[in-house]
Amino acid sequence: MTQSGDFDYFPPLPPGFVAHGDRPVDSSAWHDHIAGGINHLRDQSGQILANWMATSTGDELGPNDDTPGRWYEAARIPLILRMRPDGRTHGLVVHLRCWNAGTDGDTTSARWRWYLMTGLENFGVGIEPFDYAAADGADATVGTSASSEWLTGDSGKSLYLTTAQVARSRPLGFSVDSSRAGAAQNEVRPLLAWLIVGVEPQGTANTGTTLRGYQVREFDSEGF
Amino acid sequence: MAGVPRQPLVVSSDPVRIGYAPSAGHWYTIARTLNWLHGDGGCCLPWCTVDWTILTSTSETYPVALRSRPATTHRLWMVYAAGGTGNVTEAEFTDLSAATHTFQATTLTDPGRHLFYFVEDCSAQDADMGVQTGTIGFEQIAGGTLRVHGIACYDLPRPSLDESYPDMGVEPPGGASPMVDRDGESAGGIAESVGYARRHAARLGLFTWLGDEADPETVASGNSLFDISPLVMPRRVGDSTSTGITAHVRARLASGGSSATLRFDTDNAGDDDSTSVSSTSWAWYTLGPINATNEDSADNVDLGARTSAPFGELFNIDNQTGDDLEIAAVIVTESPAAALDHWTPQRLGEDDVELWLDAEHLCTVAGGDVTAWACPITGRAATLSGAPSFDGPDSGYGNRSVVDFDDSIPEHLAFADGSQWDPTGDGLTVYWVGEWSSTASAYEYLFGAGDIANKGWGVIEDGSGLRGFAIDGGGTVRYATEGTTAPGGAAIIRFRMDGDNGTIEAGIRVNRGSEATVSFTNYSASAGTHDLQFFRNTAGDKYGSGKVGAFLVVNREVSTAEDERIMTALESRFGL
Repeated sequence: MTQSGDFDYFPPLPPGFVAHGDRPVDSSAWHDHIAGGINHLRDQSGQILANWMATSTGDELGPNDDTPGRWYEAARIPLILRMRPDGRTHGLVVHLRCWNAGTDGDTTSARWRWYLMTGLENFGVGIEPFDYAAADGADATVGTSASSEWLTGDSGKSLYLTTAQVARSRPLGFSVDSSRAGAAQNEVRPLLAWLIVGVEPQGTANTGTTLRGYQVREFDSEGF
Repeated sequence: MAGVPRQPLVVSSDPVRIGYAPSAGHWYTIARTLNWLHGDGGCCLPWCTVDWTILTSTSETYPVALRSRPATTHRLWMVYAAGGTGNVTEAEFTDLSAATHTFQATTLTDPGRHLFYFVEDCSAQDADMGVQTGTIGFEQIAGGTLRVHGIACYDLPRPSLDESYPDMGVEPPGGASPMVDRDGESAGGIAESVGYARRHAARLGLFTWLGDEADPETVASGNSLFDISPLVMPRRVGDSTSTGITAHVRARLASGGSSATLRFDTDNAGDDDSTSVSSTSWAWYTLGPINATNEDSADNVDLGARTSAPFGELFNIDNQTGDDLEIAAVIVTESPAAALDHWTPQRLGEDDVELWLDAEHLCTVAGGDVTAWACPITGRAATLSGAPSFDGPDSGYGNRSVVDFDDSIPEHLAFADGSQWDPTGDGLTVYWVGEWSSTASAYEYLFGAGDIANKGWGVIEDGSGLRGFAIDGGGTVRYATEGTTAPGGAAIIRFRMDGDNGTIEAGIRVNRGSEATVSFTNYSASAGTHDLQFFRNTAGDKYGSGKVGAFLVVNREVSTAEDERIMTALESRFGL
């Protein structure tokens, strides 16, 4: 998810590292392989939380309307977030495949924005599943031709929930086996959040703006 | 029980100093972070958009494929669904384990749909991290039509882990308690857990596209499933490499077709894989693993993307040639990394491991010849006859070095105490990594203690193929004939004997193939040549040729789990 340790690879360990008898463990091997290896494995354990692509025109996502100058929601993606050592969530990198089809004659650009919201359990009916908005977001502008582009945030930062937002959120709760035998169960509390993708068509006429695909993956733009 | 924290800790290497014991705090952060790596779950089916409609009083199934972490006992399915033609007053979701979950869904105007959570109780943990294929289903029971708009699946975290395979939990030290030599608490336990975390803390699912077998996408010859290539980003495991990406494609030939070529292709030339489809019935096709651009954890500016690619690896699913293909699902996964690159036999117990030879690290080489081959466990050095050469790195052994025996001169490595490895009682298990060549005029003796003429046991290649042998109490040679593996190319041979002196079973296995066995009574230990030898002719006057990468002797029968660990370690170490 980011490079927090000394290595950007998994440092191998020679055979015989765990010494025989009463001999001590080699300290350099411990430094490189154990401490460095664990940090690298944590760095690289980031998950792909969402990844989809429409097969063809007509299968894509899009706002119900695309009148210029108004913001519309193009996608709402639920995500299970994981925590960093400093208490905030691991960062998310968002890539969108966006398209201005120009179907109504205007191929002017559209402005896209996406942001994180904390989630509530939503077993009720008619309850909007949000409470607090995350503080970060990103803007991007798609090209003016009738073709699609990959967009990512122009801020060069990944999105995350701050420690305070994590504290205010309400994690889910599920009972999971404590051991393989499954004799006892304890609760685990995954943290739900939503990625909201919005679009504001520009220009003077409808643009036929659509979302062809998306990818959301864990990566921290800031180390810890 | 090793608790799994909600968040990892920062593992600093600063406390690691020569001459000082690691602090309890250092040990604690390591243990907790390892438990987080093994037990915090992951995303096995990334969120994807679907467009499924389940009509009233009907049920539909949809194919899925996913990989879970070994510690996983429960999976969380998140489903975004709503009523189509009216409120759905009763519906059911069927998870991958075939358990059903009842729910209701109201009709709400876009985007106010409902997110539902279904917890799947996995019937068993998957220690192999295999890809599970199957179906999920929805049934509309009462009310309006059911519309499903999106779905994802996560491995749920574990509250705690067992301190054993495959959980690999590690117990942090207690207050003033010392480190002890116990599973999951010793330095060896930490090292082993790190080795397994390399495999278990994987990036699970990379991409999801779920269609409908009842309404599949048709892809004509020369066309791709996706108009625009999707994006994947595997993790980096080695210096700069990933373990590769694999596509699981649910496909069939369109009605009336006879054949087509299904291809998994990336933007990088040569990184593709294809297979022939010749059936009009639905089936899973696995393509790959193939190379892929991976995440650069040091590149914070480009958010982990390597500058040579847009944001990772672009791929597509093609109908390369042939008749029309129909496709109902595409799931791309990362291939698991091998575990235990560092494995040592210590965990078996020091009294069990008699010998561990590793050509790369433990040979003494002078002038290209091996002058000594020592065992770090016992400290015993090989008694050397002849001068096999040190050959390395060898691409056939994962670019690791091997000892190369040449049959032109009388050379072999010998150990004076080979006869003590008597299989009667607790048994004997031997692992040998190497290759051998066939000789037309004499037995090719790969390794063993003693020989056919002088009792003992060993593995040979003769006119009946690859065989393990042992001498019974009557002096008769007993063979367990594998017989199918041809000489040439590196392989892992396991030879074992087990039983008391009344009944002995000997078995030979190549790689992970079936074991060939033979039973007899009253094993006779070698009374003549006691040495453990490699590539010695049965008559003692000729010598075979071949290479040896590693040799491991365990003075008892090994369990299935131990065998799995050893095989995984050897396969990983030598790229087999």
